[in-house]
Amino acid sequence: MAYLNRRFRRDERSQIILIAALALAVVFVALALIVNSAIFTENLASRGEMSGSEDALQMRHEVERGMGDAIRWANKHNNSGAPVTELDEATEKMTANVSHVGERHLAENGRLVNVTLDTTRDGTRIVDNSSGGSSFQSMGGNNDWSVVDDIEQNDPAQENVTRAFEIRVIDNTTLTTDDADSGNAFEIEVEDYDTSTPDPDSYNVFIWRSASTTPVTINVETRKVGGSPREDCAVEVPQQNFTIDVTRGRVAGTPCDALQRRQSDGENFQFGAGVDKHYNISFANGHNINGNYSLVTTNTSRASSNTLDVDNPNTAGTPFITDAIYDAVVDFRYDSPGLTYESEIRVARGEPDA
Amino acid sequence: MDRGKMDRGQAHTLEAITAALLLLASLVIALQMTAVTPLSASTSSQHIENQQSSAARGVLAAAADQGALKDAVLYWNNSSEQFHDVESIGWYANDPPNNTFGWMLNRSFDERGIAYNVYVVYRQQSGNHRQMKMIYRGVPSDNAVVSARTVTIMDDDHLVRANGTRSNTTVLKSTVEYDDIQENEGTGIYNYVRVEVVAWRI
Repeated sequence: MAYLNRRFRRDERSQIILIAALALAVVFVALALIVNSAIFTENLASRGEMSGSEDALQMRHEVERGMGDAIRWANKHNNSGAPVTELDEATEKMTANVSHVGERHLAENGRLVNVTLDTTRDGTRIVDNSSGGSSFQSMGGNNDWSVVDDIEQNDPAQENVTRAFEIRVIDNTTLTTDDADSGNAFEIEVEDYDTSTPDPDSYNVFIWRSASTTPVTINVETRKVGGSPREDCAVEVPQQNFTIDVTRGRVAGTPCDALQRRQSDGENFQFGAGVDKHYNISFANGHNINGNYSLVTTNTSRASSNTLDVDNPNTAGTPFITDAIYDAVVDFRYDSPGLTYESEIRVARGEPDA
Repeated sequence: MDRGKMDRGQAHTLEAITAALLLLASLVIALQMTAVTPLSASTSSQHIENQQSSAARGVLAAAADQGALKDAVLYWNNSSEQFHDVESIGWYANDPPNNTFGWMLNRSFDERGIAYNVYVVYRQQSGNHRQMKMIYRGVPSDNAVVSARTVTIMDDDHLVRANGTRSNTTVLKSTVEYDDIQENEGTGIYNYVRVEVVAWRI
């Protein structure tokens, strides 16, 4: 017992030191226990996602890109004017290939993938692929002409009706240096098909080159619905040949504000924005640009016979129209030991981003 | 009274020794009990590996979406039969290639002190897979992570010149290292290559 009053002698105190040591020992062990709980909680909380869905989504993206390539190949090599059923067969064969490629790669890791074609939507492709480039005039030599009429949305859920509109300028000196206001710059006009309404919507893109700047600056300006709002971009392009991706909104690989959604207020300048999904596309001042172009639309009827030739006659400088696949829907299935993922993928390369 | 003091001396000593031993033992137990998990902060922590794996995945996904991955795979010098501007050893060792993919890798990895190798794995006509080095910085450490992405090359894809523009030579007629696998004739697939990025902290 510990008698702590002064009446007793100090060396008769009992084992205080031992008790203190015992207490301290218990405290240390308790502290270690608390630290362990904290470490274990952090471990549990930061365990990553285990089921492997990242792999499934990555494979989905790869399949989408592979199918985009496949459709581009099928469209491009349809120059002989084969009927659309053959185009569909070619697409099925390409889909089987994409599936096969994926299967072989993933089987090594114990995964299965399967891609089958569900539906395709027909359209047409308008091309000017003269080697060395040509001016963007019609077959009859007109500078201002209607490229495609009556492009219509087949399905209310469909967002876009034109895709993969690419202009490849081979020699940038062929671009005029007159700007959009002069009325001489090359212009792409997208207009309501039904012009009988009082206020037809329109979307116009002007392309020209800045006079005497080094390196050369390419200017693109977009005007919606009769002059305003408008947006422009100027991109320095040191190379003589470059590509303008009109539907994807890039000039020589650089995103262009005049062809995308404006950051500050969300105003949409993507291709055909503001125009009802039933429109015509025409060119103006086609002599003030030189190169190649191609676009795919959902329009399935032939254009008038004196503006576009049919099915690549190999006549230099003549644009032509040919059947093409606008988009395709494929069924995608991914199996792994812990996860099965099935999805439909809509493939339409070159559409404006949502 | 004196006898009492002499008797108690040994007890006091014993008490002190026991107390000291008890304290020491508890300290040792407490320190040994503390869990060291793979997530504890160190250069080989699992967090860092997860982070690098996500970064590698992200770079590959962004490059594939822009088309920069295919351009990097076709960034081939037809006359010298190598990638453009490689060092004499045959692959990039000091700097990544001067194309969009190389700039992306530089921003994501080089500026953060993470070393990386990039391999291109392709199928040969015999059916075997061959791994070609595009960027090689040395043997990876034990805690390296790998991430991969497949690129399909079609027959009519063009090579890319050193300045980034499209060359006139198509893959079919070039000296590119990847073979033409020629299966399913008429479908236009030239080969499909896997781009693997191995990253580790120096």
